[in-house]
Amino acid sequence: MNFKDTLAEKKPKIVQLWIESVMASYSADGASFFMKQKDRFANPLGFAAKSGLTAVFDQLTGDRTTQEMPPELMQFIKLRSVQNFLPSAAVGFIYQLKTIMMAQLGEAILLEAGSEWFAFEAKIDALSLKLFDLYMEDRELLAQVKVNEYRRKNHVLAEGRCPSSMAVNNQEEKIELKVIRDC
Amino acid sequence: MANMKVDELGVSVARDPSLMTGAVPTTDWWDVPAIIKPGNFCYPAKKEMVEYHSKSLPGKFGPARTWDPESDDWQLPENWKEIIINGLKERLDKFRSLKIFMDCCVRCGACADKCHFFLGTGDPKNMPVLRAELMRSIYRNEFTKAGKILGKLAGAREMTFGVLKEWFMYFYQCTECRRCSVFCPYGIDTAEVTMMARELLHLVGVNTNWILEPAANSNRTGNHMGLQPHTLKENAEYLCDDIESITGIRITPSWNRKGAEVLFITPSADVFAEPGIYTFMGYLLLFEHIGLDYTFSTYASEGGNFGLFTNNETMKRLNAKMYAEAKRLGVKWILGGECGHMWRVLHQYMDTMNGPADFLQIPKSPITGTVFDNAASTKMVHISEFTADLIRHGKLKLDPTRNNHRRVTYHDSCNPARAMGLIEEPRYILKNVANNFFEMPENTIRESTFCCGSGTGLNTGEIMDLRMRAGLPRANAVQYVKDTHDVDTLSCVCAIDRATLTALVDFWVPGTQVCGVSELVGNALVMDGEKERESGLRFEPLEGMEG
Repeated sequence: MNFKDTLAEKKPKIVQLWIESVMASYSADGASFFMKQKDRFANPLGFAAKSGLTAVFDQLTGDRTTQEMPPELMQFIKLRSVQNFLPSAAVGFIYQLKTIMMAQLGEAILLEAGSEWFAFEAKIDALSLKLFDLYMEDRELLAQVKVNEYRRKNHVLAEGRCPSSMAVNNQEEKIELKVIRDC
Repeated sequence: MANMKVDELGVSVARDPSLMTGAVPTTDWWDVPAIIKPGNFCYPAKKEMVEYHSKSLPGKFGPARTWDPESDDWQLPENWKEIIINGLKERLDKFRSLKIFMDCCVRCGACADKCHFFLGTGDPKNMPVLRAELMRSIYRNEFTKAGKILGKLAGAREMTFGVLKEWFMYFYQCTECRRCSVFCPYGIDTAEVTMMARELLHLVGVNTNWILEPAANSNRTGNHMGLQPHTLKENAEYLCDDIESITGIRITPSWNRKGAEVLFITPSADVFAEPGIYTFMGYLLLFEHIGLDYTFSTYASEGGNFGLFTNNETMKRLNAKMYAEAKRLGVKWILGGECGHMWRVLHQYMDTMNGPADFLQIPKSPITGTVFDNAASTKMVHISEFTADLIRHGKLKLDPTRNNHRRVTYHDSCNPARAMGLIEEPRYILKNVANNFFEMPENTIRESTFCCGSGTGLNTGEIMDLRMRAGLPRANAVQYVKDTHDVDTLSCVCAIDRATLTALVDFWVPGTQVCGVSELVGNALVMDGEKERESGLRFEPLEGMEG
């Protein structure tokens, strides 16, 4: 069997192992739930991971023709960007795919595939950079969300200190509000 | 070649826990320490806040000091363990519910996957059953024979500094939204376990500023923001200016007026912060439309009650202000605005703490004659109940096409939905004031609604990452209706929601606006003598007026 045929045959197993390896970055209890629960609203993380990884693997193999990043994978990266991961851990799961594929396809097939396999690896590398870009976009968006919230003056809740200092603030803010409205 | 790379990658990347997986060790839960680090804790309370609260409630807030949660010295009182254990004992004797909740859990797991914090983190200590176990394990050790004799075998453990850190971390990763309780076959209210844990933490001075400062402001000045009477009034006047620009109608709300029929109380954020101000404008238009005899109060100018997140004494005190003011002003009953936990305090604790409010009358709508028997004891009616009744009796002139520029969904705010059963009224209103209303998936709304992820005083900026992952299940459902129905407006009936969902959708579903239900009512109301409306209450052009 050649590279392409073997890849087609092993695909379900490869994707399954990849998803499991990503889930292993969570606690055992968490991973078990994320794998089991099928309802996308009861288990948004599991759904995003499973659908996103499956779709992007289809893109890598050419079974999915659209070049756009699957929205589920984008949501998953967004979530990873606000979870307790180092940046490398948040997006580095893409490289686990290489490890899994090498183990699943075997040395003989990969040696025979030669340039085909190198091209596939290059696609994984390119994807890893895209994921890192996405991760950074998400972190920058998060910073903007914080700024926006600050502008909406939520922080006044815990910075009032005493009524007299509030009075000073209020004068300034009233002027500011008035200016904004008048514009 | 290939084998070598497998080995290399396997070792250097795939199996490296710190880089590759950020792994949580697979050991017993109580052997995994809570690591407090920037981004996963709320800043502690300022010393002067603790001093302020301690003046009127000595001993309930622990030592006033400056302390650093990241350090290993929290400058706790020397006998802090004794204070916690005695505090737990006192509460077990005082609150039968706590005793039952400590004893009756069979660890069936029905609640385990219902918490938004668990769904967004996968951290087992965010399973409600395990979060409660953080306290139950101490309870067993101190107060049960099995725990005393068998120790760990019976699920008991000693109170240590590590446990205290765990409590500080995980009882502040619970928004007391009570979604888990809906699924508990024994009806265990895990939120009450969190409430008790927070009370105990406060006893030894482990606290957060985001909660204690608004509670102090509310007690002293009348509202969370610390807005003084003249500021409140002037802010409201600015909003009246806007209403006049949009509708041509000048509204003059009354303040602190004795003898008014109704006292209206809403979260102070509605007077001050976006997008709550548009909801406030909706209230004003509604009252003007029906000619309601109402007054605002500057003393009871806060619907929210951060005492609920502190201790029952503070909660009682803040709730009492509403009733003291209702008595002073001589009103017949109280109308409450779109607030979340105000309604939980009202429906579940007010009667025990400060009720019954016998000096008030059972609320009766002066417009429709409807008697709100459901509020017979608290004498306080929700604005959505009141508005829905008005619509039902055909008392409002509405033009729903004025909300045609919005495609609306509705987030059931946790407390009104689960703590007072306010499910249908807001929907009934929305269907009458907007032509484009779409529900989110069934398992994310009504009693099963997902929290905004930032309730119970967690809506502070320093834990934004945490808030975003906790809000994932809610945002995910909003994304779904955006994808399927092009929804661009997320309505709700809670001031904390209005503030926090705005940040949540900013991150997860950009382009979505958050609004109160009353804002859409205000848009749709056809006022006598109004000019042609070209924009909604936030000056956005109406459909057909874009040019």
